Amino acid sequence: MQATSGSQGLVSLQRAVELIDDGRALAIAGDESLLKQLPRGNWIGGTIPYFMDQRGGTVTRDKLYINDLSGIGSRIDIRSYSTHNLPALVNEAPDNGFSLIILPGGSEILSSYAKNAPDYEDIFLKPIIGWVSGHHLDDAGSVTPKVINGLDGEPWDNRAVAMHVRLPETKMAQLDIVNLFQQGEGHTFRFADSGFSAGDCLIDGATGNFADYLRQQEIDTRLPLVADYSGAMVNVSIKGSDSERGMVEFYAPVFSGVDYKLAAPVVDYIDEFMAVTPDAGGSWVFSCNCILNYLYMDLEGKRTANITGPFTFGEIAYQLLNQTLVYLTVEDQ
Amino acid sequence: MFDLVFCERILGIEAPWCITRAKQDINRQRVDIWIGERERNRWFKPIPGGRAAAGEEQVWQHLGMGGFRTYIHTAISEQSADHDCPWIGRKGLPFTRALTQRILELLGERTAYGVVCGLLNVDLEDVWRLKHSLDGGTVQKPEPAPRAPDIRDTATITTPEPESDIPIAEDPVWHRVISNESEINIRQLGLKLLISRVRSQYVNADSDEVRNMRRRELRKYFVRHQRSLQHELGQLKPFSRARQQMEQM
Repeated sequence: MQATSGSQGLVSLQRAVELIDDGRALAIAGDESLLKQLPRGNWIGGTIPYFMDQRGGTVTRDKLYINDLSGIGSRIDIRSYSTHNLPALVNEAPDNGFSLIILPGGSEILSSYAKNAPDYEDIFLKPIIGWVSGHHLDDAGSVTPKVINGLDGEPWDNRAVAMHVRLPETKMAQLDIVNLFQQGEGHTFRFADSGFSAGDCLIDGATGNFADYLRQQEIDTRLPLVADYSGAMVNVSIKGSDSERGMVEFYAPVFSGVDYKLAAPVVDYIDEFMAVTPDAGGSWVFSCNCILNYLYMDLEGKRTANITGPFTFGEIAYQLLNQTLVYLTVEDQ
Repeated sequence: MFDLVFCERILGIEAPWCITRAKQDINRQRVDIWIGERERNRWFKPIPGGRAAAGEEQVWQHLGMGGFRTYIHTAISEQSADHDCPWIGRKGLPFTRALTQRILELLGERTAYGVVCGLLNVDLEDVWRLKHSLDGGTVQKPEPAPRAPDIRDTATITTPEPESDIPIAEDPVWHRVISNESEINIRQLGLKLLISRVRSQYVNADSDEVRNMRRRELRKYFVRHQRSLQHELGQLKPFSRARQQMEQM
């Protein structure tokens, strides 16, 4: 790949080092062993070895996926956040521009962001896009997902990193999603408490248990719960169901007071994706897709239009999403 | 060593309550004060040793003293204290009533969150928790702000701001959009998510002031993104009061 401003793609470790040494502002995704070898510089990174490349879905520990944001912004700031100062993310985001955030999978700070970000002051006024770092599925239990602030090079599994990109007044950032899942025709679920797990709930207004429901109805748990946010379909993916405990675990929190339905099945992911995805023209700056789409839709070796980027353990489009492609464009005002 | 009598006086602690214990941490610039019930036979002897109240201990940050953060520890319930007791707080919230009032006063004057934190030496995360609870209707504002014009009161509504096509905050169009009386087609993801949040908070709000805040919040999005919201703004125009008034002229 010949990296230019706004370019993206898989590169070798050596090429990534050259770009960093050249002073480029980069968002980098890759295996932890490679990220640790990168020099200090204007970059943020997160661990993940799954990618959608121009040739199709792939898994590699030998290359890094970069988004070169140099030249897009009039000013770029890199910040790290702990759970305590995470709400400041929105305050520090530029009024005209966007923020790219990476959060470590399975961490307390991810949990905090997932549960609280929708209520942050002005969260929906400024485009905040990003992803949740992860690891090779073979490494589950032996490593933790990390993020790295390139300014100091330290890997963290309990902090978030963000790149705030201020745009010139002539430019405008737009954040959107591609979600192939729609609410199915079935029952409506409402949960009493917000959280990453739930048991008892209301099913069409009657008391029930979600784990029991999944078992009795023999639900395919690859289908997420879908909530309709004024026309935006927001997924909550099911991590696992324990019918003995009567509890279901999720990859993102369900929120109390929100009506959920199980998704209608997606017949052909590639065909439907191609049909609804806008052309990835020159205005595309960043995109990422969900690792569950990679796994459940069997995307290894298959292309999804010209959309490339990491497959992640969660996607951020203002708030945490699941099984969704998120993308950001920068266009003339 | 503390002069506990002086401390009780400046903190507004009155019988039957008293300071049972106090601790200062010079390095962390922090004072911790435990408040319990005064022993009957020590009614006029405010010395340490009062009885700790029974129940679960709560901790709230109180107004600072001499640059030190002050934290109140007590098992006294909010219901047991006088309604104007300044050093008590609500279970689950980070601040005492007095500090909560100061924070909300500053936020009500649209002081930036960072400035509020600096002025009152409080953490942004805690202010956010308070704000979140306020939005959810679990905290009453101590002083009601001046009443905004009723959205059904046409006498107070004039024309939209001349520099903007966006209806003023008091225009009934915002109520109609939020309450879904006027359904509009929305293209922007951020606006979809915001309207969903505002709608749930609007329904649960227990005061006009909170509902006014939600209307202003929605309008702020339109002001910020005016140039990319022509599709949505075009749908608001038929419902705006200014438009209706002009048509009646």
